[in-house]
Amino acid sequence: MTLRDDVVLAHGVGGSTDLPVPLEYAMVGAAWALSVSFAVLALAWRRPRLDPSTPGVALPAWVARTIDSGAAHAVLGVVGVGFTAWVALAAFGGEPGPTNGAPGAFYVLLWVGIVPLSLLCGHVWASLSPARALHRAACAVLRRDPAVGVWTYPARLGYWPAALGLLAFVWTELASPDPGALPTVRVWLVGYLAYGVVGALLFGRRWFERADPFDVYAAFVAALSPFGRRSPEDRRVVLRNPLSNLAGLPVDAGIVAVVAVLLGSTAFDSTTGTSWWLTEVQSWYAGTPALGVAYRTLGLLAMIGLVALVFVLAARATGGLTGVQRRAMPGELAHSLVPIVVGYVGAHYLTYLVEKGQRTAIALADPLDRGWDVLGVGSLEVSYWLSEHPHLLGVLKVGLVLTGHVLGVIAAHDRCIRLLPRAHHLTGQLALMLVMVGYTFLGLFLLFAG
Amino acid sequence: MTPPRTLAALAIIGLLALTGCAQDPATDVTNAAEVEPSTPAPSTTADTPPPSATPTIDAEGLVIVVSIAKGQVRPLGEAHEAKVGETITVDVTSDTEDELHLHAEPEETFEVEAGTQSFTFEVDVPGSVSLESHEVGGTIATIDVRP
Repeated sequence: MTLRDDVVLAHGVGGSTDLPVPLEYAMVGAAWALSVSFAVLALAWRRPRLDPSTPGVALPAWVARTIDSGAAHAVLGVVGVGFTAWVALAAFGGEPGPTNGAPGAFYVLLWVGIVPLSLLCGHVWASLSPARALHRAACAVLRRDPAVGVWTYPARLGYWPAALGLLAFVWTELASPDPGALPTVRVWLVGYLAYGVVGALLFGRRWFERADPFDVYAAFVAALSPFGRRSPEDRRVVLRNPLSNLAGLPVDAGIVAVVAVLLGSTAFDSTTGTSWWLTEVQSWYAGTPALGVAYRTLGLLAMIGLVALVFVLAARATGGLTGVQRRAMPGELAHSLVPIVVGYVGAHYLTYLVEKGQRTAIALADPLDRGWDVLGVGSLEVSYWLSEHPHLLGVLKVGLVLTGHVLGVIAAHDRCIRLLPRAHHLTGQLALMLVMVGYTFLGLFLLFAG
Repeated sequence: MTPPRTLAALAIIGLLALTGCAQDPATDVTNAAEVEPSTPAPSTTADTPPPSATPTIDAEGLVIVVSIAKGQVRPLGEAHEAKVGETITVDVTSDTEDELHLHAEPEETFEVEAGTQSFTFEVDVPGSVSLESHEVGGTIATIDVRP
């Protein structure tokens, strides 16, 4: 049986989704999340410990020399651009349908794959990014310094352009009429590269660090990696506590929006799989595609808005600060949601990455449907080992959510005792901790119900 | 607030949060179990299966009855359970042409014509599989396929 080219595929790549996590797993996870949170609040350290300027364990000097060398940048840039060009072959020249690897490259390898890559290797995306590499190449041709553009990036914009870009992406994936269609992928491929290269030519490298959605996503996750630099002056690569690296995530306007889009969209994705959505909400729009887009858009925005609103209110709910300090609290605490995002995204998209990722790689071996079999990948079979062990998968998923939660609570605790006056150390972080517990309960519930 | 009192307050809040929030999934699961299988007409006794579940007597395994009429697909989002390799039958009565998509590994497509027809398939990879109407539009059913 073949699929027609206008098939609408869930998440852009189709296939089945995970079985629900057994209820008792979710309950055990929830109980642990709650008890660990209060243990951290009541028993953990009383003086801030997580500091991005701790020396860490330095790796040999050649590591930094190699990573920072022009040759390494060039090689990784060529890899990034080359892979993108390969995907473009499939997107522009391949037959539509499940044998086309372009949607998978976009929704699975890039969007989900960027998380483990950044978590394990740090912000390697900065070297691999095709937009950055093309910008470097353009600057080399124009004999310009890639760090600076025509204008200075407007500081008040902060991360807002990246947050909007991420919103556009999750809308495309979860709410738009046809996420898996090749024209959708083509628009993103060309649009993203143009947005990155032109933006960076105008505003310099800062554009990538604040306005490029995938770059910012990668940088946020990379902040949780064990790798860092010793200091802004001493560029040696060091290994240090990931939570100390995380505490160094640059705070800027829109930082809460970035994490809220990431967390809210993943929660919304689960929500559309619940029986409530499929039986109740669906009956309001079934049969009218445009209405479906409208309801999904509303639901997506509502979920992101809810995540953001609750977080902002909770982060501000503390005594002992001036109004100005209180308004700064949500941004100062936003980094603590990064582990929760990583844990939840990891749980939600684990099989997706492993199994749809294999399918994508196999499809990409023959981008133009000419019978190519690059590296012999095309003749491999997808292993569904993970799906075939749903209990193990359930344990892994709950474990990922729980780990993210615990790291998030610790990060928030440390930042709170750094910023809050002593008398408010406990009460000042209480609301935030309850919100985090709420996020995690919601996340676990959706793994069970979605 | 003195520290011991703070801790006591925290413990109480924690307990409230645990009991309060922990109940949500539990109530939802009972609701789901009671409501979903009998969406069209709630059956009164446990040993009388709901009318929609077994209209085709000679079919083995799971049977899903679908009607497509006047631009409406029914049911919507019906929840089912099945085993890997179990024969699943979809009985479709339609007043129009449509295309049903089975989002499984691999994907499958069934062409629907006006009239009554049935399709059978089995799912080999465990997961939550959804059956969707492509032309009229709507997720008809989800099937949790277990190993």
